[in-house]
Order: sequence, then structure tokens, then C-alpha cells
Amino acid sequence: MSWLQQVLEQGIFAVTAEAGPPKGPDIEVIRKKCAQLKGAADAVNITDNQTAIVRMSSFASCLVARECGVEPVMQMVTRDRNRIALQSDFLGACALGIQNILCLTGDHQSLGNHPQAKNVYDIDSIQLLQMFRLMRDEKKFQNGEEMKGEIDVFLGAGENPFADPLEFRALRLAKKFAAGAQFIQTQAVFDLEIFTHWMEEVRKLGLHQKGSILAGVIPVKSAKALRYMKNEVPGVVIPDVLVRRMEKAADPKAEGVQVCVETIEELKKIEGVSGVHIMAIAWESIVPEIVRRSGLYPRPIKSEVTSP
Amino acid sequence: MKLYVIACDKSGYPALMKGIETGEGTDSVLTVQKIPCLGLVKESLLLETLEKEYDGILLVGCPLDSCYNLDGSRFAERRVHRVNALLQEAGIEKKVFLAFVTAEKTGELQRVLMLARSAFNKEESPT
Amino acid sequence: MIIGERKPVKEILQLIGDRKKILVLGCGTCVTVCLSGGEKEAKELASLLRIKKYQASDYTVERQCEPEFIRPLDYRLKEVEAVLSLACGVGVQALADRYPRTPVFPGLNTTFLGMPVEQGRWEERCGGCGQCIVHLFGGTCPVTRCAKSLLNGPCGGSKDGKCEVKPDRDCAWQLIYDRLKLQGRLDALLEIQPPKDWSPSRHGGHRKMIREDMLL
Ligand code: SF4
Ligand code: SF4
Repeated sequence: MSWLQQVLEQGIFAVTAEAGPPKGPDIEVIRKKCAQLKGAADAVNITDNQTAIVRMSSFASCLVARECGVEPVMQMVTRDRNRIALQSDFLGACALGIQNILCLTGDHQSLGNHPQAKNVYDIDSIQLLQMFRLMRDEKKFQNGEEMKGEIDVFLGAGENPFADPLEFRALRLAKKFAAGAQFIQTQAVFDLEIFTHWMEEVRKLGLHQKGSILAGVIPVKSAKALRYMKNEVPGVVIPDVLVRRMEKAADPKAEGVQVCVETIEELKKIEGVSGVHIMAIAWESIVPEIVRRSGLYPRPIKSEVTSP
Repeated sequence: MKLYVIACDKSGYPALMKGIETGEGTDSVLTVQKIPCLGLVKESLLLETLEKEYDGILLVGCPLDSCYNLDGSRFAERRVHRVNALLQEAGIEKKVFLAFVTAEKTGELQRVLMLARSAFNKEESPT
Repeated sequence: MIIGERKPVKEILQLIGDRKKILVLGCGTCVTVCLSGGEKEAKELASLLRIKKYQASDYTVERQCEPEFIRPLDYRLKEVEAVLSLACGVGVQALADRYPRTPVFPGLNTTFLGMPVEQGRWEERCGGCGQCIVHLFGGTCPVTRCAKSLLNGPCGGSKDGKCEVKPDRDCAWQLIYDRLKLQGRLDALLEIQPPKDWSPSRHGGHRKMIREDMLL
């Protein structure tokens, strides 16, 4: 069983972080990020060509992370691979002991650095979850054919409580759990009001009992970065008060961390939130401080090393 | 410079006649065609006319908001724009000009004639 | 209808190269209606070519994609060095098949199956996936109109009814949600749609249709 799953099942408020593979073959980049995150997070998401920009593969980077003693969450998007390649890579990852998989659809390639590429989108994230669950629980490929061997994997998905149509968002979460998600990492929370409301809906539907919900947070370094996210990144909602607060701050970096810590404090109070997912993009070194100041340190110690 | 002029009979044609009487810059006008409204001028007519010896075409008609036929000048403006874009895309140094005048005020006509002249006197393609 | 857009004149001139006798051939069906390759556009292009000193003529047939409509072109084709077809890619190929000795150049880029949504604006509606499931989505096709062809609900980037990928276009899933809500059928969206069978689509190889009773 994956460590992340054990932590969540023991009812410990979980912490996950994120590390993007390098835009090149330099393994040291991942090692460095892992060294910064080790001990501060229970597991670390390794992104899959996020924002449709070519990077070292998530699969390979996950293996490096594991060597560094960090438990990886392998992200898989359906943008670039069809069901054949996805199942094949899934088997490979499971065989090599990757035990957390996050199923995503992925950002459209036209927003990335190879907009000329042909996309795949053979299946969507929900179908991806369903497919992996079928392989794990029923030992069947997507086409129904029998498969041999045991698979031990913890399946997750993303969800964005802030995107439109808002009223559909909790229902979409229900679908993800029904399809096989065991944990959910949400889009970064800046607007606690919308998030709280979404969680109310989630509880009304009893979804918080169907799996673990980890709320996403992003520490920002400046008002400029915040504004950029507000205006340019699809699916992120940022209240104006927050932008003003960052603008007024004497030390914006410190303020960004403070905001993040305060947000985590609030999230901890919300019934049904089982952990946080800290996405410190290109600022991995700040994660331990955030975890410490949020009262989430030390992290539980893994008694045994997870091996295949 | 050889111009083919298409003038609407409500405003363009009277203005043109006045211009010709006073001889102001109208010496490049080779042919004048009178029509009921600029809205009748199709792109194909413009292009076919430019297949002949003319360097350019000048459409003279009512101002946009006082077109006798309401939308005639507006249609003409769009089509002129489109034809000029096509000509430019094809690298053809011919052009269609448009002047909105009233029967009394002919100043605009002089201005566009001047503009046409300077466009063709330049060596590079008119923009 | 099939939507096509005229190639830039510059590209067309490059395609033609140094050939002089050109037939600009319009098509009287889809591309006439979307104002790209009908009689009017064929005449304009032929005119442009003549101004550029080509010996260009123009003609427009009812439908370039049907052999019986292009058969009468035989004598015209004898007189030209190349044809510039303003039909969709189907028409271009029908011509190329019938006149294998004459180069046929596409004057349009065939873009999509769509409809006019307002004067001067056309939008894609169907991707010809070979297994229509549009009824499951209140009559809005996510295969085509969602940038990611999502079958189980909107992605995380839908905002104010617009698509994150093309913000000037509607998010298909907002449309689907609104329509099903109007019909009181939101529960339909809770059902998990299985992976689509793409074998009847272009992904299964190029396609054909046969009507036994119509075969000669
Ligand atoms: S489901 Fe397939 S056939 Fe039906 S509208 Fe969409 S693409 Fe076209
Ligand atoms: S915003 Fe809507 S249409 Fe665009 S990719 Fe997402 S779900 Fe599909």
C-alpha cells in the first residue's frame, strides 16, 4: 500500500507537494527538488508535461524521486497517449513500484510550446481512472481481456471547485469517485468562500466519505505572479482583496508564505478536507517552512521502505 | 495615372461634374460610369475593370450615414476593402479608392484624387 | 455543410508556378454558401490572375464532388495547363481522379463541418466520428466542440461559458449543462460515459459506405 494511502487511512492530515521534471535530461534538477521536499511532504506529484510544455517524462522522474527517498505520485494525462500507451505505461510504473497515480486530462497542447502537435484525447480523466481501476481490481484491460498479476496502486484525480459551471463541480467529483478515484487534489484555493461552499455541496452528497480530498495551495512570490495567475491561468480564481494585500506588502515573498499558511489553517478547519497539496512551482525550497508554520511538521515517519 | 470612376447619380456624379467644370485634378479621369447607387458595385465588376488599362478605380457616392439607399455606401466600403486586400495579397499595384461626397461639397473628391495620384507616383505598391 | 477558407493568394500563385493557362473552378454547393469557393469567388480569382497576366478562365459546377457534375468539363480541361479548384478537398480529388493528366491545385483549405451561427461567422459542429452520440449531451457534440473531446463533464478551465483553449468560443460543456438543466435531465450527466469506440471514426482507417440495393 502506498505511503500516502497509509497516511490518509490513518486519518493523518496529509501533505503532498509538487515537482516538475526539468526541460532537459539533467537528473540533478529532480534530485535537488526532492532533497528540498523530503521530510516535508508525504508524497510528491511528478507532473506530466504540465502546461503542455515538453519536459523529462513523469515516469522516469518518478523513479529518480523514489531513489531520493521521496514517494512519487505519478501524474498521467490523456492528451498525449491513447489507451494502449496509457495501459502499457501504467503496467510499467506499477511493476517498478510506483504506487500513486494521478489521472488527469491535461492542458491542451495549443497552450503549450508545441501548439503544432496533434493531440490524442482518446479517453478523458474519468475514463482513465475507470480503466486503471478495472486493471487493478478486476484484472482486466480496458477491452475486457484478462490480465495477469497483482497491482497495488492508489488512484487519484484532480478537481477544480472554481471552474464553471460551478453547480456541476461537486457532481463531477462524485463521478470521479465513482470511476475509481481514492484521493483528489484540488486546484489551488485562493477563494476560500467558493471552496467552503463547494465542500458543503460535497458533504451534502456524502462525497468526503468516498475518498480523501486534498486542497491545493500555491505560495506566490509577488503581486505580479498573483495577477498573472488571476488573468492568464485558466481555472484559477483569485479575490481582488488578496491581490491588494500582496500589492501592499513590504516583503511580498514573506506575505505570500503568510497567505499560504493562513489558507492552510482555514482549510484544516473544513470538515472533509483530508490534507493539503502544496504546489510551490519553482519554489520547492519554501515548502518545509510552510509545512512547519502550518503546524503540520513533523511528518509521520515511514516505518518501512516501500518496495515493489 | 488612369482612373475609372464609378459615381452614384445622387451625389457622386453631380460632384464629379462640378469638379470637371473647374478642372480640379480630374485630368486623370478616363472614364465615368453613372450608376444608381454604390451598393450595386460588386467585387467582380471592380476586378474586371482593373483587368483593363486602368491603374485604379474611384468610387464616388453618398456619405455612409446619408446614403440615399441607406446601406449602399456601407456595402461599397466593405467591398472596396476586400478588393484592395485581394489586390495587395496578389501583389498587384492597382487600387480602388472611395470618396464620400455630397452634390455641393466636392472637397473630399479633390482630396481622394490627390491621394490616388500620390499613391501611383510612388514606386512601391500603394497601401 | 463543409466549410473551407480560401488559401492566401500568394500561396495559390506559388502552387500554380509558371503555368499560364488556368481554369479556376468553383463549386456551387457548400463552399458557395460559406462564401469561399462559389461562382463569385471563382470569378474574382480568375480576374486577379488575368490582371497578373495569366490566361485564366473560370467556371462553376453544381458539385465538384460528384462525377456526373464534372464529366461535362472534359473539353474545358483540354485547354488548360492546370485547374485551381475552389471546392473542398473532396471536389479537388474528384477532379484529380477524373483528369489524371492535369495538375489540380486546391484553392481552399477545407476546414470543418459546420454552420453559420451569424452573418459572416461559421462554427464547427460535427467531426464525423462515425458513431453519433450527440443525444447524450442534449444535442451539443462534445467530441467536436470540446477542445479535449471530454465525454464526462467540463475540464477545470471552463470560465464564464467560454473554453479555456479558445476563449472566443463557447465551452461545449457549459452548453450541455445548460441544455440538460433546461430539460430537467441533469442526472444524465452523472452517468459515466465509457471510452468511445473510435473504430468507426477516421481513427479506424479511411471509411466507405455501401448500399447493396443501389449497387449496379
Ligand atoms: S457525436 Fe460524432 S457524429 Fe455525432 S455530432 Fe459528434 S462528431 Fe458528429
Ligand atoms: S473549457 Fe469546456 S470546451 Fe474547453 S476544453 Fe474545457 S470542457 Fe472542453
